[in-house]
Amino acid sequence: MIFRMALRNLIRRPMQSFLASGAVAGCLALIIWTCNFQDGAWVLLMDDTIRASAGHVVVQADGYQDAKDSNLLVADSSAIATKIRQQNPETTVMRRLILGGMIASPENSVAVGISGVEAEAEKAVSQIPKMMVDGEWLEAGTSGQVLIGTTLAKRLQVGLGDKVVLTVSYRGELQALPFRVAGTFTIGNASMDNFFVLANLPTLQEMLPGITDPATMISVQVEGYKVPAGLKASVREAVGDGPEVLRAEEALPELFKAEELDKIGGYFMWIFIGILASIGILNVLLMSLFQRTRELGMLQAMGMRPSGLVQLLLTEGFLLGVFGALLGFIAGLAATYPMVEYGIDYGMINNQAPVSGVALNTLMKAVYSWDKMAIWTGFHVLLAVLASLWPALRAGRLEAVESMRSQ
Amino acid sequence: MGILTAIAWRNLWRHPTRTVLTSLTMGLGVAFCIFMASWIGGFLDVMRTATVDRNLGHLQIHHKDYPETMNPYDVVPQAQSVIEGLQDKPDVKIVAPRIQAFGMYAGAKDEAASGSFVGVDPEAEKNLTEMHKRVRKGRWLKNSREAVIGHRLAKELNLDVGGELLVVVNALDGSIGNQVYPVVGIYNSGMLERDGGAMFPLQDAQELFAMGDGVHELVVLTQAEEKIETVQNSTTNAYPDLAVRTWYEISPETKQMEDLTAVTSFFFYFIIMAISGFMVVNTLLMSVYERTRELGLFASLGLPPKRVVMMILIESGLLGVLSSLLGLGFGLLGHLFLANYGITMEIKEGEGFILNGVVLDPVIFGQLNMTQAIIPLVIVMFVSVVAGLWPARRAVKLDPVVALAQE
Repeated sequence: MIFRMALRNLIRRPMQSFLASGAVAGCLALIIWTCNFQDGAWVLLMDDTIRASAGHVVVQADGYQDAKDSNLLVADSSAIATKIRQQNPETTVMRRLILGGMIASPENSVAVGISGVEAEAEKAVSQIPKMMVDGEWLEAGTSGQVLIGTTLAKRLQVGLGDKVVLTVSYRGELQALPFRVAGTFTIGNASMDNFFVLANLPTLQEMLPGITDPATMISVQVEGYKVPAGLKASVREAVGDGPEVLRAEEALPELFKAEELDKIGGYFMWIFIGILASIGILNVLLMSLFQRTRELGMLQAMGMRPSGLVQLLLTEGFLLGVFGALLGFIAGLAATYPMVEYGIDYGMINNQAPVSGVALNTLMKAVYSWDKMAIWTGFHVLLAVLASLWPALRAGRLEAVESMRSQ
Repeated sequence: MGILTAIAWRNLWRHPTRTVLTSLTMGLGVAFCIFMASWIGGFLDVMRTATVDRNLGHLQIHHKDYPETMNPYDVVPQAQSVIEGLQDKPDVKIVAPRIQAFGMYAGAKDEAASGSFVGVDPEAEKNLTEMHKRVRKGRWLKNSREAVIGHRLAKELNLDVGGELLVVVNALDGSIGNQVYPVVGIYNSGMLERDGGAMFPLQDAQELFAMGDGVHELVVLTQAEEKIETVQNSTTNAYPDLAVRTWYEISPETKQMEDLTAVTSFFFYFIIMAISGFMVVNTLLMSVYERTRELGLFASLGLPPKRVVMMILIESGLLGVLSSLLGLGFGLLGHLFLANYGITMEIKEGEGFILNGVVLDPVIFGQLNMTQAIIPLVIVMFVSVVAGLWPARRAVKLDPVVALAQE
């Protein structure tokens, strides 16, 4: 009964109902769109960063995480990698050797960070193969290949096929080997294009004396960017005691912290927008209450209890909220769709990762975050009901005689 | 006009709740924009501090090939006369020379590492950048034959203040330069490259590299930000063979961030525009509906439609003024809070986001320029008046006879 009255009241004033639910719809659509976009950006960023700079679970020499000392290496890395693969056949396991050093051409010498990678495995997870300007990605089994950034190439005044000398320091000794430039890349981040050098793992391993088959990290990766619950324990079992085994959250605390801060900023903004929407609804409902004072007094005179009036107005608010939320949900989805399908290529100018040393995909796509969309939609219905609380309580306090008198 | 304004003002206060809620919503929208502008201003300032105050200065002068190649042989020709010429310019505050190169380092314990090598004039550098304030242990350079080292290098070499640093470089005359320096300080510049290297007094650096009185870089601080391009132009004219670049040409990331920010601000302005327009239409439409009979009376008494339109536009304009004032008040309060207390964005203890190899300060204090505060006010005023057009048109389309017949 009250429900039908409420519905009829809303339909009787199409313009007002439309404006009130439009406020809810507009705000919700905006929130859903930005939320899906933000989530999409983070999924991508997390995925790229986790894969390129650690792994869902990563095995490193004990103490490496704190010290980041390039002398701390895991020996016999391929044996360990094989064990991890046997224990977890669904995972991808790859090794990396990360060293500080110097690259020199006849013209110049520059301090660089050198990553020794497994060419095939790395190609699948790194963004750099897509950012090659000249030459090709590393070829497995070919020794002496090196890939450098275009900025670094200019500084060294070298091009494809030219000779460079890499010098690395390990346990106090300097080791130098000649390499040939097999390709150049532009990541778009000046410090990386100037600093990042890639080489084949086996060649780089040869430069380190006194340790067999060394690696800085053994990266264990799965589909998606969420770390499966039991993965760390299972990798630990395969590896045994000795090296440290970390989940992505432990290996890349800065990344997760940055995500958290960014999302807090988002919530702050969305709640603010929600508040604006609810003041809008409050305004409309209060006005419709003033206009209907006489009518509501009549209802009371006919025997409707104050609690009935309160219920009536709350129901109106609820219906406005539901209608607006539905509309906003659909509009938000519609706005998300092209972002999911096509995305925005924000270009290379801003390839700024929160964790340094990662090349990011520059095509940002949104994702459908169903759980968040559901929460925000519910939140807006709730806001509408809350906003109708004040008018409703006011209606409950109306004096029948007084209100019948009012125009 | 006077009487119309009086009527319009009274009309607004027939429903004080409605007027207050409407202008509150719009005001909060404006306040949000002002707050965001203050936040973004603070963030840009942190970025600027990190690039300009720590390293780049306002202008940098190099050999014309140096920016591209960063070749240590490309020294600034006749640096001394350039320095003197610049110091005579009234707009120039400081000119400081630097050696920018690369060295191999070793400590006492057989550890070796490679990193940046920067030679500076300790006193001039003190006035130019805040590097001396970023010495975390020990002191800044004072005498000749001493070194300050970055915290990352210190860690890599296990070297502390009081220890000895062995430096090996490729001197410009083709020889190998080496020298032992006592370490007098350890700094944390937040610049990843700089922190992995060391800094030395200029003369020692010139001696080690066998480069006479040559320098690679002249860093200029002008009297004011606005003078940068004036000084750049006059310097380029005086020394056409040198590369004279502003800090934002060297580090375009900060500028790009500003542009990105402009897009974000536009997005927010659009939101407040939408919200404001919506609220004004809502409020005034309802008020026109309520006053149908009254407006009909005006019309039948011979008030020209133009004046009715004017009256309603004044109402909406007044709403705009009220909202602007509220928004300015709340916005400035928010800004003052942010400017005094700041918000901490800590990724790691004591460290903020990393931008292009530079760690930003974690606490962001609000910064606002008056234009940014005024733009949203102007937008709200404009939107209010424009949004008043629809209700106004409705009001004049009324047929007096029909309107009067209404209850």
